[in-house]
Amino acid sequence: MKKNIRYVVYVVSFLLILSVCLLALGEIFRPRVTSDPSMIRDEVDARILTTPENTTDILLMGNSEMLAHVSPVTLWEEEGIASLNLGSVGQFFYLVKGYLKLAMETQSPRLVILDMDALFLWEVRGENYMIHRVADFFPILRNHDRWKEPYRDKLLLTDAEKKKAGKDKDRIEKTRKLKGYYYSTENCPAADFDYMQPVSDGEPVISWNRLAFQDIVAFCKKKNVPLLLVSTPSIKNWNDAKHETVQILADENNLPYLDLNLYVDELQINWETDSRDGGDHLNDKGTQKVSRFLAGYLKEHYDLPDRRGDKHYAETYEEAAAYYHELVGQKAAGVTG
Amino acid sequence: MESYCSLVYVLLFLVPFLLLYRFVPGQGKRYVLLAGNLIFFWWISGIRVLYIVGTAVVIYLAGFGIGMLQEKRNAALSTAEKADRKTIMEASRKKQKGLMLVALVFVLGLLLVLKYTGFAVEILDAVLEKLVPGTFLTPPTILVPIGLSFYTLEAIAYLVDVYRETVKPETNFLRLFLFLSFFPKLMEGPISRYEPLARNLWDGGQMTREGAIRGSMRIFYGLFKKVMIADRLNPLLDQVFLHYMEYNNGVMNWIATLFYMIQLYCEFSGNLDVVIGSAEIMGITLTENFKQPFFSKSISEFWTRWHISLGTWFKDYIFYPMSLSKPLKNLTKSARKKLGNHYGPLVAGAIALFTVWFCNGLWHGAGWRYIFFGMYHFVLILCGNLIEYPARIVTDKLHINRQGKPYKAFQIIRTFILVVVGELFFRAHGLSAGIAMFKQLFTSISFDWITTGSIFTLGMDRMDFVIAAIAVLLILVVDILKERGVDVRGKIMETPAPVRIAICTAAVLVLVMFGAYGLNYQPVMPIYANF
Repeated sequence: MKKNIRYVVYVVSFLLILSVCLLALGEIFRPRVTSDPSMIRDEVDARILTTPENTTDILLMGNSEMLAHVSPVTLWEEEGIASLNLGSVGQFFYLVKGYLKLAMETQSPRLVILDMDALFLWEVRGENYMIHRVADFFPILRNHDRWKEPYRDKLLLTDAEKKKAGKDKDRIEKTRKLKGYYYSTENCPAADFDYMQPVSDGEPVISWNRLAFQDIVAFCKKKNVPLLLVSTPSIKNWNDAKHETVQILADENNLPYLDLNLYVDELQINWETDSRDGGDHLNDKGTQKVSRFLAGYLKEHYDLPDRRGDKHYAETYEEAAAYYHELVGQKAAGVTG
Repeated sequence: MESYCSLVYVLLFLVPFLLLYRFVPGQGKRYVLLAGNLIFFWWISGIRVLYIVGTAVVIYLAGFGIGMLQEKRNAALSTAEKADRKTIMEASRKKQKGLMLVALVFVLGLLLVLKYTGFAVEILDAVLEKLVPGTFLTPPTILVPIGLSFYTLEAIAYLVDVYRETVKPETNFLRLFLFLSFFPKLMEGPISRYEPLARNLWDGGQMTREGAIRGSMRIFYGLFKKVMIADRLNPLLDQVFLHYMEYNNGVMNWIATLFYMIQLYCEFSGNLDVVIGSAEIMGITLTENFKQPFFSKSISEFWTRWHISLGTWFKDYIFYPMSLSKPLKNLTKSARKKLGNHYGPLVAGAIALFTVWFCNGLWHGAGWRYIFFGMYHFVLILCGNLIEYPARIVTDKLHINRQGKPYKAFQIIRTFILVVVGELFFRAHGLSAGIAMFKQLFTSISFDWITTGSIFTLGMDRMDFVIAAIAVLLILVVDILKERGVDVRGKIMETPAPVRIAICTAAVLVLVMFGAYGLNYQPVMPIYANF
């Protein structure tokens, strides 16, 4: 009996000490607000932590579809909507909650918009979902490799390393300055325009994605922030089966769902000129159309203030707008691609 | 669930299962285990769980039938005249053999159809393309249950052992099914023998505090190997093996091949650590599958230390039966007369060895590169056998001490290099890619990728290299200690409680902080689960 009690004490002590250490490390490596984005390894974290406090009414979440299809600058210029695009390439749903959590430490959004394309990413791993669930309790699991950040640039010793890092850095920095919008003027026409043919069955969803989606829904509910589900135009990534599945999910969770693939005519998307990669993603021309439409939709359906008269907001958004127009101007002058 | 080395397995499956297994008393344990096995198999393979059920039914019926025939024979023998005994024995043997062969054809047929149809169609397509240009055959899509090759070999071993009368035929189907479907060994082995494992599983393991601690430490060590090393090396390996033509760099190929060897060892043995540790917590002992393989002094020895359970299976069920068959015995006799006592037996041995390595290669996968891999090791072992005698003469003449440390070190390094080169063909995307990369090893020697630092742009930065190197060093130290007979876990358990807690906490923190998991890493899928 005495031996058993001693054994239980050992196990409990071990778990307690370990938990304290993990929590302490979590605190040490917690990403912090900074003016230097190069100090943050994760590009979405960098976008969040370099955005001035309380300057965001809408958080835009999703994978490359969101990253490339909604421009916060356009939402700002059209309706004075203050938004921050936190989309990133291959952003699985299990990552979204962590980003939202971090963003809500410094922002008080009135709406979260979630692009639903990542619901159908089949490469998702249960393991990564689990790690992010455990990270809810021990954040160090999410930020564990941040110890590399101070050494990151110092260890770029050769030209090859510097060149690769520089290329990534330029892209990330450009996107960050545009409030998370990936700007591209490339054009590669799409072929098949009839991609929304009605089907009877919905697209299957991997259970880890479904679980992660429910986590996002629960988190937004807990934070009392409305959630809007959207799908942005994509010939390669979207179809009616996916629409059906998302519609069912939206109905089940009592959430609004806006499928912009159903409005391609209204949006006047021209797949010959508005896609950068054969219908997978839109280029800036297409994105402007989507963003303008979305701005109108949001104004109509949500009580979002026009922040253009507010200096605190205007400063950061005007800076982003100026950068966007500079890029457009450079393109027109043939400086950038 | 993708791997044993995962939080999904450990937290969502193993922990709840062990709690249930611990608190269900007596005979209830076996039903908890049975349910656990089925849930686990369903989780990883869905409806394909029916394949293992089908295999178990056929093997059970055949084993049961063979047992009945043996009983009948024994009854007849007890009353038979001495002169009739041989006839009774032979007649019964024939029937038993027939029954065994029917079951083996079924089980092996299932394996061949599920695993090798695609490869067969590929070969047929290539032949037809030569004969009738423009012909195109599409390989069918067949969903193979995970662990098929592992439980099939176990089923065959059981049936052959029943036929050989070294194992009693099972009368209880659930007992046999419990053995075949035991969840820790389902995906990557070890390929186990029926007794005493079946009895232990049926009776229920004795869960002890010591077993729980030792098992947990073993699981942790497996996770360490996988997450610190195998997963960390993965992006670089993917890049080099996919883009070898573009890079055209022999030095990079050497590095990638060496890294692959390390990855394969850490991934496979890491998974097996989790497997054996899981069983250990339950009070079940599984056979070891690795015994410090990189200290082998020859290729033959390597295969007695690497994937041991597969090697012994091939030895017991292919090599010995073939070597002891009448035709090969006769061949040995005549070869001995012509070639002498040293080389004579090697002729028959070579035939058996060829069969073993052909099957070994094919077992690993349906593809020419796997067959080549098998043949590579066959040639090396055969050459080793042929050279042994003259090498002994040469070393004696040169007064080289074969028992000395320098010679042993030479043997270990030589074996390591040969094994590493073999793995290049194993990992390459197809045999032709393997051959091309092999050529580059010797023809495109350039250190550009290292001197320019390009090697650090392939998914592993400098810090990843440093951490991987430290972790490999640690594994090497543990392997050296194990080679010297030190029970590392036992030593840790002997330390005072505060020290033990400190060691365990530090170990977990190191894994959490420096593990290659999460957003910036792409873990390797279980390599052997696909075989």
